[in-house]
Amino acid sequence: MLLRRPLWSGVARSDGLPCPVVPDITQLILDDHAWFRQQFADLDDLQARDPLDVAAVQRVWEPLAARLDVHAIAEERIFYPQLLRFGEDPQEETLDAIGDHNDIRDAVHDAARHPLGTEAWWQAVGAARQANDEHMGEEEREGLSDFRRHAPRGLRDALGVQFAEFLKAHPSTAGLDVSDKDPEGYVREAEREITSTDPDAGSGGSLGIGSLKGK
Amino acid sequence: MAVTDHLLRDLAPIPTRAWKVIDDEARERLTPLLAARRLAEWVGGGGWTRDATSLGRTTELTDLPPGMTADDVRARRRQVLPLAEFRVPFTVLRSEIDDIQRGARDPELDDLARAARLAAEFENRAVFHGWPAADIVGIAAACPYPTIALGLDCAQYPGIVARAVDTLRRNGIEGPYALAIGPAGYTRIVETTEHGGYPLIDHLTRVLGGRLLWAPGVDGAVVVSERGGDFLLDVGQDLAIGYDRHDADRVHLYVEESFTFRVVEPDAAVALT
Repeated sequence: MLLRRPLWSGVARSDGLPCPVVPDITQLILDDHAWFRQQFADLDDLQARDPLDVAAVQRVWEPLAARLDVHAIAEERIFYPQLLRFGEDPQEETLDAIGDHNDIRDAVHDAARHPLGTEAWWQAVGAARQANDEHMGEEEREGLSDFRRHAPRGLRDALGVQFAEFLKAHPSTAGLDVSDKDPEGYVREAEREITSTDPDAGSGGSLGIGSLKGK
Repeated sequence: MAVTDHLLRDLAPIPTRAWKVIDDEARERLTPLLAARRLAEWVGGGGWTRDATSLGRTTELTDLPPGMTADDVRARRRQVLPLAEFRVPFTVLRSEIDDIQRGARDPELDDLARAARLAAEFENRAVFHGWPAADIVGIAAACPYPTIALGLDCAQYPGIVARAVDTLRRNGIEGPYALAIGPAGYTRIVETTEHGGYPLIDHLTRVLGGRLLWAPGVDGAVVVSERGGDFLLDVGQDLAIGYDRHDADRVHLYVEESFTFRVVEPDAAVALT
């Protein structure tokens, strides 16, 4: 599946300054969430049409399905390991998130097993939407909020660059492992990494203080 | 043992838990002190290997390669501002590291706190007052307006700050405005109430339309516009802790940073002495 969503291409500052090149990771995740909501709304419009324009539905769904998978993997590789390092209550938030990702993946992959536009397909898409809506709301209230309040600004910016690069490098799910993950195993492994690697990994060797402008 | 970068942290006899405590302590000590970062635009990146920032300007080169004449060729050289680096050494007792590993919650890291204060003051001083050897012109030195005397009489401060704000406005510099002031001056302000019990800090905040910043390393004070884009802090290697050496009793570490700073709009600040 190919993503057709234009990748984020940088903040255009009115003063033309060269910074910041990429928003911090919490903003990038929020941007993706907004895009997901819009795509599901577009599917509503298409579903209301009679007869159904299957090609139009396919044009919306295929990039959406791919991005749901890629977004989840990007969060699992880049965001949640750092939330576990800096968050206030990161274990519970991460366990919930990985479980939600599995629900979303299951529904997206279930949709792929049905002919597009059929009743079974719409049910699977509806399940993906429900799981994704619950996940996004929870993540925005908990993980993202926690990370904004506790992670150094410089780290958030650095992770934003990594997140954007990952999305750019993976315009489709090709080469990515989109299978479910065991939430407890994921958290265990991430915490093992935290205690066995350089504690400042991910912040370029620095303390990750970065900009304090406006604070 | 693999050495991951120039900080040589892998070589230090410091277990992971103790490194985390040291880093957390450094971050907590540094963050409240870094006043310059609260005002300047952050244009950092590139890490330790980055050498310079482009100024987007050139100088003419009149000396050409042998055999060439200025009739044939026009040559120019790009202007760059080199990044400067500093290190502030400090030590941690190995016995404290052992205690951290045992779970001690109150590690003795006084020398780290001292180094953090120095590092933050260094960055603040370079930004506000300049660092000539590193080609950094500070905000106060770049300011084109006559310096206004602040003095020690807090009762005069609202009028003095209002005049500084007025100077900026009259020169087309929009707000909000901030007052960055050294610790002694800041303490005088927060301790003072005006007639009727109105806190001086609230009065000044209303005059500025912005905030007061506690700024270690600032002599006197500076009123600056916070509209953005006037002051650029260009950081290569952000503040980090590196390893130098160790003996039987102590581990010798350092706080390090590479950066430069430039004032894009000198009119956007008024220095108060």
